Amino acid sequence: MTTTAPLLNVAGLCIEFRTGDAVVRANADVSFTLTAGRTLGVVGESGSGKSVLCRSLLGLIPSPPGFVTAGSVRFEGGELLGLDEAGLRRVRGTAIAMIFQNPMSGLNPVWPVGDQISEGLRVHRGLASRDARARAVALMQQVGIPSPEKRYDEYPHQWSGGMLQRAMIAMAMACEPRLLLADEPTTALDATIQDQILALLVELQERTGMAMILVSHDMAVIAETSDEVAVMYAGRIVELASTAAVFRAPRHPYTLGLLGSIPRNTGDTRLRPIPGQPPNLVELGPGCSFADRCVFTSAECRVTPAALRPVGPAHLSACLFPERMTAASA
Amino acid sequence: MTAAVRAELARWPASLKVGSASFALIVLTGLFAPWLTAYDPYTQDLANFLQPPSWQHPFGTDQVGRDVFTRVLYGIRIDLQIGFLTTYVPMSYGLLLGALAGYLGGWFDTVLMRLLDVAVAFPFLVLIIVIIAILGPGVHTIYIAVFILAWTMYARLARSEMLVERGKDYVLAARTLGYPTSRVIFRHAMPNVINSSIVFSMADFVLNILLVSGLSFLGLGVEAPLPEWGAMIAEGRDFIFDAWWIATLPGLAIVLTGVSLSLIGDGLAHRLGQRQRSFL
Amino acid sequence: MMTTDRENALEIDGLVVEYGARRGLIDAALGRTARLVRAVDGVSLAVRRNETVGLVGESGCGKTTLGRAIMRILDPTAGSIRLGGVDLLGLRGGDLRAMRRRAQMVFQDPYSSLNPRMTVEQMLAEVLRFHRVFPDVEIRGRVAALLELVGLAPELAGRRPKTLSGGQRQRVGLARALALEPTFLVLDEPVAALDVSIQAQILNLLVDLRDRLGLAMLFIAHELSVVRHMSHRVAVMYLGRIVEVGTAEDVFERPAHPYTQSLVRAIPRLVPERRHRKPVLQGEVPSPLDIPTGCRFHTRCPKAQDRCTQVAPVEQALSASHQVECHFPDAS
Repeated sequence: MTTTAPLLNVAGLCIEFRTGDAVVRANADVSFTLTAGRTLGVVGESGSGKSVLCRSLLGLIPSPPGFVTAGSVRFEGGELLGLDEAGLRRVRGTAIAMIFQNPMSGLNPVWPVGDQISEGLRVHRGLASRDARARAVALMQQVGIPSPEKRYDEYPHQWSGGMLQRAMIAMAMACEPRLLLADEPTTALDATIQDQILALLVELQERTGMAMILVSHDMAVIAETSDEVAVMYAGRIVELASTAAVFRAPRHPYTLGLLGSIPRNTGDTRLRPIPGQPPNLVELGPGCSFADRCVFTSAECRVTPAALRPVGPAHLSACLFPERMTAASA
Repeated sequence: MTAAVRAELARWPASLKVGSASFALIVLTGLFAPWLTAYDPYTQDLANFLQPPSWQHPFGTDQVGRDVFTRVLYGIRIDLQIGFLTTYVPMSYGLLLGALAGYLGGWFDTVLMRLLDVAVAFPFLVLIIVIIAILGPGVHTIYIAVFILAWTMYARLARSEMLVERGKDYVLAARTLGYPTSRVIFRHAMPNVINSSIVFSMADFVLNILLVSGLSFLGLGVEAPLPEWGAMIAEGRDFIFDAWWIATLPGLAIVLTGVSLSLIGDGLAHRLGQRQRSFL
Repeated sequence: MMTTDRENALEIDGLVVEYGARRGLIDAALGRTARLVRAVDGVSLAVRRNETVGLVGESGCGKTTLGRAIMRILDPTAGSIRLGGVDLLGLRGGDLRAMRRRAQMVFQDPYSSLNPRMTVEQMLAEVLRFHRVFPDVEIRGRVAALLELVGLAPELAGRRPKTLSGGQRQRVGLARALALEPTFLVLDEPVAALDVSIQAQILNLLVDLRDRLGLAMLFIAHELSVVRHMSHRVAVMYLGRIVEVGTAEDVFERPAHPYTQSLVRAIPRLVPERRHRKPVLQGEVPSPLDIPTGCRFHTRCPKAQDRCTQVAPVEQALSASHQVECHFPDAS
């Protein structure tokens, strides 16, 4: 890692959802930094808090029931948490943009797709309609939408899922953001279309030098697109390191379990799944949330809080006893 | 009270509890009417006509000396019966036809939908007047007219819900398990289709009581001596300035019944998850 | 692939399934014919006893339609489906019901495939009671045995689907499919809606059950690594046709059809190297309402020639186990 000032610095972020008497700890003590031009992959299963994390950066958590109870999110030196709507609007779409999992519902069905792409340019950049249209057509060209002049005036229902995701990306890229948040951007797409969209994201990043946070449940997507990986479980980052380190030498049993759950076609018909179910986020104990499903667990794991700490060079893990893993594999 | 009943009650919203309690009270009052009053709803007492409310006659007496309180109590029986029949008879075959059309599709659906369009386009009052012209006025005439037209809303609701349920995997699963179509429709899909109709029926119940009262008020509905609330209001109309209680107190009974049913409908909508929203 | 048992559990021959776009009254009055979508367009496929055949392809390729046609949820327009030698398409009423006991289906979405109004026990008991497989007194015990078979605790019998997790629901769906002791299972994306760690539990369970009960399976999925893990043989579908079929090794190690090659190369790999790549395949799947002439893949094919736009390729065998439908297959 370089010594340049980070673009984004998230520290000790805690987010709760409160409904009735129940308090769900959606994010607990989440901390990481991201440098310009780099991609952080956030991987985890449903309920791990990865989408909540992504949305909280843009103040998109509905409150109530969601509350940020602690932490800070500094973007280019300025604090994002606690910004009012007007302040958030200045950041959204211009400095930080976001694309979502379902491109079908991400576009308004009653407006032409092209107008929705140029809208950001008119609102944020104050471009005249004609200039905004020309720029939007250029953007559509860049994200690989064929004959953009013609398709500018078409409506979302006339487009396929892959094309709509390209349109969403064009909208996000309109004001040249420094950070792109991509929340499961290819989950709803077919394999060959996923391949096209991932290639497009990587290409756009190389061209613009923006940073990216890519949220996915798919370890392989993360492996191919990220520089660093944050593995989330039950609201916490349990492992944070370079992609190579996480995939070649994981230092948290959950990461190891995830990798063992994926079919690799080694001729072995048995997978090594993680036993049990993800914990109920309302009833978390004081210790490590993964203790009940962990093969290396001991009595201490259930009572000692497990915080993210260095276990190697630029390698953080929230496991209390990472040496047990290495001992077992040796 | 068993634990299951208590658990169910705990999940009822306040509107459902209040509505059910007050509706239950109305029903009980109607059932025990003979024990709650010393008078007969039909016996005239010309010596004591147009008496204002008093301890003797809490709701006063009408123009022929009948006790208004007694007539309002007996009116519960009549109005609830009318409301019940005009709501749930059409609902039963409306649901059935709509669900079948939604599930089976094809010519059955096409024919039913055209029939529905005709029924919806038909002016209700004109139909009533035509039927009255043929059969003469009376409750039966209203029943026939309502039975011809009122099922359409339920058929529409059931059809649209069934179109959704039909495509769900649990219905496909029931088919792959070899169950006959009737079983798939009635045992599996139907229970998941009727919720919206049940909620709607509460509002419909109120509207139907008001409709029959309104028709009786116009002289097109219930015949004279029957203590139906709408008919009572119609009779009291001529004395509204001298004896306000004759028309007003039956009107209040209609309002109370209507509010109770609306509360139940609102509460059921919550309880049955018709309006549930989720976050995250 | 060598099998000692030559009898096929399932044989599909020349199957065609069409959907009619609904005709309005006016169209019918004017004598307009409905526009038909050929979701499955002449598919032949066999599944042997104890064998799992994977069926892969992108959305709209017809793989789900094929699964549903086998289960007779959809009625095919032409062709035949034989299960254990019996032609399913001729069956009606009681015979069809008897066949249901031999072929069962597991659905993708564990949240919609269970009736929300019924408890687990009611669901399983209903199947057994309806088909009179066991005398009524034995049903309770049989339900418990089924729960145990799919790895569910007996306490869950009284629960409704809403209170179960996705993995538990999928196990219930599996128990329901196995209640009638079928010999053949259609699994339509059985793990696509589950988290990775739960997905692995279900895949292991499926492998166990297959080996223990001697089930033949048609395993439909879009995720290639899962299909490869589960299947002995794999069929690749594109726009309603099977374009390549072979052993899992044939298809994944020596793909001969350009579409299969692209599909295999498009799978993200678990290798932590950032791929600076060009997308393997341009464009998107054409609408099934408007299937291209000649080879239906020619609009996206990197190797397309003039002949591909005019003449539909016929199936050719590359080896005893490996067939492909392409004018210019890679025979490497």
